[in-house]
Amino acid sequence: MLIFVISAIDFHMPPICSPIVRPGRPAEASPMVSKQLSNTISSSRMTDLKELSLVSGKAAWMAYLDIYCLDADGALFDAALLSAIAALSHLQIPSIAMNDDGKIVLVSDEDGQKRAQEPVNKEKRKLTLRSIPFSLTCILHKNYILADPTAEEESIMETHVTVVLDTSGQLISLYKPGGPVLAYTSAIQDCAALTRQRVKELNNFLDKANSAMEV
Amino acid sequence: MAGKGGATPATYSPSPTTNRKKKPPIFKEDWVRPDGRGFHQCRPAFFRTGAVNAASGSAYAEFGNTKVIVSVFGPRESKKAMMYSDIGRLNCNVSFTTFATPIRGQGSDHKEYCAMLHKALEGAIILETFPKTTVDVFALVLESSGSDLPVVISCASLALADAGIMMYDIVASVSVSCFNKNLVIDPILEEEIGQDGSLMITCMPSRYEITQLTVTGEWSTTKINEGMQLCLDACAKLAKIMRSCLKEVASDSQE
Repeated sequence: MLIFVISAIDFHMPPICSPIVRPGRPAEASPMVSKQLSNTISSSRMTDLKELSLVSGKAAWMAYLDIYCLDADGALFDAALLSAIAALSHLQIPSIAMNDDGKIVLVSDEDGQKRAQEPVNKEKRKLTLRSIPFSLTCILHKNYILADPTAEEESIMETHVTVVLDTSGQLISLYKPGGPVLAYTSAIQDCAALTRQRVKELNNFLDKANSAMEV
Repeated sequence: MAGKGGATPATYSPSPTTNRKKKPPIFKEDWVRPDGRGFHQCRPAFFRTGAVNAASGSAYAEFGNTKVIVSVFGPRESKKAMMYSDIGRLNCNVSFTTFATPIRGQGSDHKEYCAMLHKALEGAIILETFPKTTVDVFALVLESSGSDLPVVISCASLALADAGIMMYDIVASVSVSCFNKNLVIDPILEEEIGQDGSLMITCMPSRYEITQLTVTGEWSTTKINEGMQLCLDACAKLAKIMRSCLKEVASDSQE
């Protein structure tokens, strides 16, 4: 029997983030970004879900990914994806063991030495992330391409293109939700080129942030 | 955690192993606060305004590990269903992130915080200055580590000032917990769980006026007086920090 690990990905837009969002009713963008994130993270195959398995066929970790938008100022998906990647790269899976009732319990260092029972995983470990996806949202307006738009720019110009590439330069997803401007092949290629450049910047930025955390 | 078995639910958080050392009872004579503070010592406070660009005014506050962000929108048009009003309306909302508490999603228990925030602020705002309109105050608790409401109130007051909403004075709020004969100021989550009673004061320090006083548990008259004095002194100090934060921003913008 296999256990499938579901990562619950939720993108929240609390009322603090924008004058448009009111308490009680979720923002329109919220479920769309959640779905987009879920699709991107699963299709990029950056995490091996087997790593989240504890006891084959019996127990596995369930990862909850909650992303909160504090200030909605455009390109929400790009910021959400970057924060999701940063959170996953910082994630530490704790050391645990299975007790006599077949229930998983956390193990401290002292307990680990005393236990006759072998811990399921002996020490805290990080998830192995490979081919990390990064995205860039562009706005198409007449003959112009505006990269990384603000909320004001997004409200004026309606045609968005979001390109997601991984660190090896492979295309993970391309998202163009309608809009009055038609995206020609050349425009898509230009957006992809801008994204490629952005991926390098963001990857360096993430590496620096992670190394600063470890110090 | 996903799993299968008799009494074990489908998903659960792994519990710590049982043979942990028991913590000393919180009310013993030689008891030391978990974070090493003195009984009458507040956590280090940090304030910053202008945290959210989309809002008319906003503030971020950090008291130890308690982190709060507040946005103020307006004055803006009231909802159509509302009747005409000579004075402005104040609308408050407090929400918690799912990761604010050690157990996921536990923060949503505090439904009364919205009403308490409203009551604490409405006495300090000059509502006559924005008739027919509404000012929305939205707070989000990023991390809950005790004394959440006082931090939310103080942060909201700073956000209102940042938004240029006319107020009689800045509003500062501090709470005190009672353990047997001991009074502990600005309690953390661990202390709030074991407290015998709590007292929260929200005041306008310059005017020496109280906008809200909340007492829970058993208190003697002398203890209440002592607790109130403790809170008022702390509020005065807190208001100084809040004012210096606003002055800093004002001097930066002038330059």
